[in-house]
Order: sequence, then C-alpha cells, then structure tokens
Amino acid sequence: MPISLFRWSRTILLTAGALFLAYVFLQNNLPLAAVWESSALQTFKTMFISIILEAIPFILVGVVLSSILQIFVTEQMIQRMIPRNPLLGILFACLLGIIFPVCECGMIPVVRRLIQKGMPVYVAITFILTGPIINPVVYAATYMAFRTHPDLVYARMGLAFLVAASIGLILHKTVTKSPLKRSSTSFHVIGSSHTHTHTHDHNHDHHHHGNKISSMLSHAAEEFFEMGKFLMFGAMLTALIQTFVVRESLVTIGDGAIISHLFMLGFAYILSLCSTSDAFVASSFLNTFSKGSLLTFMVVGPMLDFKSTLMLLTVFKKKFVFVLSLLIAILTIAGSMIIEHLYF
Amino acid sequence: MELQRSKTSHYFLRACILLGFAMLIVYLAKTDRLVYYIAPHMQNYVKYSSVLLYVIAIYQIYLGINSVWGKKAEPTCDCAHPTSPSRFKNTVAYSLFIIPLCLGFLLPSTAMSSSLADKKGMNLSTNTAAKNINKQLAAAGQTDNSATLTAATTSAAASPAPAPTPTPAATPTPKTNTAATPPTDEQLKEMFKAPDEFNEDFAKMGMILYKRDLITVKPEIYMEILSTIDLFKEHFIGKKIELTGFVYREQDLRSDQFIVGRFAVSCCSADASPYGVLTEFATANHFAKDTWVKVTGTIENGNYNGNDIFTIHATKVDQIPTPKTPYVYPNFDPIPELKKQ
Repeated sequence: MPISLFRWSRTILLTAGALFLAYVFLQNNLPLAAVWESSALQTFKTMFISIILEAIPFILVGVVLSSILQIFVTEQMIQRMIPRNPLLGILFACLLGIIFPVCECGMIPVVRRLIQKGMPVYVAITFILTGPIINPVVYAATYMAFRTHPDLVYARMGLAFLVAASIGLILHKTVTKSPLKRSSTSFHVIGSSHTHTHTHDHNHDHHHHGNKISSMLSHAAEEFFEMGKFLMFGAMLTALIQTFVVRESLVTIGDGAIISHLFMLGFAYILSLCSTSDAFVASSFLNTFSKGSLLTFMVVGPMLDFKSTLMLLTVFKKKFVFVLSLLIAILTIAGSMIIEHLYF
Repeated sequence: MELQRSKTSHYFLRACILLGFAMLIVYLAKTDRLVYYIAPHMQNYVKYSSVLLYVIAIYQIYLGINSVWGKKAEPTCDCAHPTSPSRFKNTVAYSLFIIPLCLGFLLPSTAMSSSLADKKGMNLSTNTAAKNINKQLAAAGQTDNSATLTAATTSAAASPAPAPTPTPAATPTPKTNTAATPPTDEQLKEMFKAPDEFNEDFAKMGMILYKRDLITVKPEIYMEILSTIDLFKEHFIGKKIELTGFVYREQDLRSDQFIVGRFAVSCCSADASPYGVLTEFATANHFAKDTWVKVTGTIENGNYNGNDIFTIHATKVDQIPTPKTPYVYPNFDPIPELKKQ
C-alpha cells in the first residue's frame, strides 16, 4: 500500500495541485481564457522565475552541505554523541540540526538507518521534526525572507523546538514497540530502477580525497533534482495563485481565526516546499494572512507534507505515521495561536 | 546496456538543465534584468550560485561521458536517489525544470505592472501600513524602528482602516505655509513630533523635507518619504513634490485622475506590494496605464474610498522611459540618503 502510494506520489501531488487550482478558479469565477492574456502570462513568469531564483542559492547550500555531511560524517560518529538521558536526548536531537543541516527529504533514510543502529525512536523522530527547521541554513533563509519581521523568525525556531520536544516526550512515554515496518523494504528499491544496488560501503572506497569531492558533486546533483522538482511545482502553484487570485478573496480566508490556520496547514501540506525556500513563499503572503497562520505554515511545512508523509510511510507503520501527523497538526496550530495571541 | 544508455541520457539532460539555470542567471545579470526578479541585496547570492550550478553541471557531463564509454561511473554513495524507470514520471519531473527555463529565455522580462497591482490591491496610504506594523511590533516588544517601513500591510484597500489622525501635539499650520516666515528649529520640533518611538525617523525626515522648496521623492527612499508626508500630512499641504512611477487606474477614478504607483519589494518579486499616490491632472486620461511618468505638482488633501489621503495636484506630467530599477526597496537608514540631496 505505501509502496504503491509512493509510486503514485507525483500523480497524486499533481492531481491535488490541479484540484486546488480548480477550486481557486471556481471560487473567483475567473475565465480560464485569462490565462493566455499576455499581461497575466508576464506576471506569472515574473513570479515563477523570481521564486525559483530566490530559492536557488539556499537549495544549493542545503544540497551541498547535506552532501558533505552524508559523505564525510559517518552515522557512528553521530550515534556516539547521543546522550542516554531522555530529556538530554531530546534536547540533543533538537539541536542536532545545527551541525547536521539536512533537508527533510534527505533526512528520512538517514534516520531510519540511525534507528536500526540503535538510536532511540523518540530521539530520531525529534530530529526528523526539528532538523529541517532549527538549522543555520533555514534560519538564514527565514531571516532573509522576514527581514522586516524578525519576531517571526524567532517564533518559527521556538515553536518548532517546543512542538518537536513535546512530541519527543510523548513518544518516549508511549512508544514501546519499534514503529519501523518489520520487513522494511530497502528504501532505494522503492519506486526505483534496479540499476542502483547500493551495496557500496562508505568506509573503504572513500579514502581518496578527490573521490570524495566528486561523489559529493554527483550527490549534490542528485539531490538538486530530487528537491528541485518539488520546488518547481510549488513555485509554479504559488505563481499561479499570485497571478490569478485577487488578494481580497484570500483575505476573507485569512481573517478567520482557526480557518486561516487550517488553510495554511493544508497549503503547506500540498505545496511540499523545501524548508530552505518555504519562508520566501510565506513572506509573499504576509499582506494577506495573519502572522500566526504563516507561523503554522512554516512550522508544519517542514515537519509534515505530502512528500515526507509518503517517505515516512515507507519506513514506519501506518498507524504511527497517522498519530504522528495528528500530533504535529494539533500542537502546531495550538502553539501558533497562543504565540499569535501573546506576541503578534 | 539499455539501462546504461538511459543513465547516460539522464546525466546529459541534467547537465543541460543545470547549465540552463546557470546561463539564465548570467543572461539576466548581463542584461540588467535580474532586478526585475530579485532585490539588489540578494542578487550576489544568486550570481554565486550560477557558478556552483555550472560546476555541478560539468561534473554531470563528465559522468555522462564516462558512461558513454561504458566505464563504470563513480560509485555513488548509498544515499543516492535512484532515477525512476517510468518514462512518464521522468518527463513530468524534467519538464518541471524545463518550463521555467523556456519562460525565462523565451518571454521578454518586464517589470511588474498594473495587472498585478489589481490582484494585490494598490495601497494609497503608506502610513496606515506603517502604523499597523508598528502596532504589531509594539505588542511584540520590538524596538527596532527600522521595521516600520516594511512593504507589508494588511491591505488598506480591503478593510478601510481609520484615517491617520493628526497627532494631538501638532499645531495646525496655515495652508499657505510656503509664504509664511520659516519656522524656528523649536517650532519645527513641535510640528514634527513623532507619535511614538517607531516614527522618530519620520519626524526627523519631516523636519528636513519641510525646509525644502521641492520635495523630490527619490526612488532610494521612496517609501520613507511618502510615509513621512502621509504621517505629517497637514504640514505638507501646498508643498511642491516631484515623483516617478507607473500609471495605474482603478475603476472608480475620475477621468482627470490616475495613481502614480511603484512596487515595493523586500526580497523577490513574489513579495512585492504596490504603493501609489492619487494624482489629479487635467489630461490624465491621455496617459495609458503602465506608462512611466514623472509628476510635478502640489500636495493636497484628498479622500478616496473613505480614507483621508494626500493627493497630488499635478502641474506637469512627463512621460519617461522605464527606469533601470523599476521597484523600490525598504531603506533601513533613510536619513543619510535624504541628506545627500
């Protein structure tokens, strides 16, 4: 079931996007002919290209850093550093992203291996949740996007920390059995060709320095395309919304308290943006949505989205993924509503 | 062998796409078009990434050539993301990259214009925007007054915000203040008293601007000057002003009116917000929308859609070519720029 889901992920993603757009179009009684009006096409182009260009430096930094870490830092090195005390372990996992900034897509295979090698589940999940948010690259990107609203940058980091730490604690208390799927199929075989048989071991072939750099470069390219296609799709969808949707019609959604949070949650889920670039998309909605709902967008997005759910399902049991998603959604919305109430 | 061939084409296709993005950035930078997409303070990062894209692309070509000769390519590490065997999925994935490249190279780059301002909603009162943000910042305990000038606003058009009220401390001045004897520094300080700590920069700017015979709204501090005038509107009535922007119209404007607008951008064009000043000119309808104009006139009190705003009674409107930098950017230290004049 999860395997076929993963296989269909792009189709599902595209269909969901198309349905969402259809909804938006119908909502505003927009004539579809307007798409071909040249000024609209121009606007679309400007939006589309500008989101991509803005995100490219950040996605490249993310891809290169993660490649460096994947190749130069072994899991054993990280495993040795995990504290035994659960509270310290959770704290450690929250801050691990600072030295190990991997995007959410690169994260799940790594974490699965860590669990198999004996990393406690609650530490691993906390790391999956905070790693893509509490790290220097995402901090820089968010700071750039919200230069005029630094409070939102701190709120994003803080809320991510709180949500992940509470989920870590809950899991520590409740999870006793391994949530990993028993005969978890090798991650790489899923939906893949059979050309790659990854029996290659890290430790014996990477002694030459040049070899490491070249495998880093090839890994960077792989990851650029892996992440890039979701970014391109997200940018396209955002550009279409910006081009054709009158802001005032969104304001009506943006006004409702819980509705706007739920809307932004769904939006983040569908867009499946990379955490290094989602802040720029969020900042473009600053005029339309409340800061609290943007906070929801930026905290939920990296923790829970379409592509990561599909990847989680290939590794963890269905029930576990479902409960985890529910916890993320509830805690984030509650947290950002409280922060909105107190600080914004 | 079949698989090997498909891998080869993957390498070359990827190299082409990566080179395409690198070239797109170089092309836009060389033709001075990058400014249509990215704010100046971000442009260097984008330029550097073109170099990195280039390096990664070259390595893909190298891998491609290796696999053509049947050589076993570099062992990819075991975290590599495998390529999909499905032709359909590959087509979809790669076309997602090729579409923006085609758009970027084939369509001409143009500045954002009226059609987008329609969607985003033109803001005619910069001050209302600044005030909203001030309130939020004050609540958050922020003391960084640089944030007052963000391009963001809870759309003033959507919810008619209360008109900016004159500060109680301000003494009403006669409308013909150009003819009156210049006020002393003490009087100026009294006139331009910041309503709160976030507006102190505006108060200082107000004092400098008030002494000028002609207020030139420089693009470098466009938002800042307009906010100052808006905040201390009553002191600037009758002053001469000069500004540039594109012509924008809303449905309920009279035929002798148009709005001189500019897009304020903080990072990339996706976060742009349009700001404008309502202008009255006898032959306003001779100017097509999106024409770039330089307007000279006097500041007047006005009202639009229930909001008290300042308007310009234009004495001269000249058509100008689209400026090299069509957008305006928030300036966090506006006073030195203002004094430069």
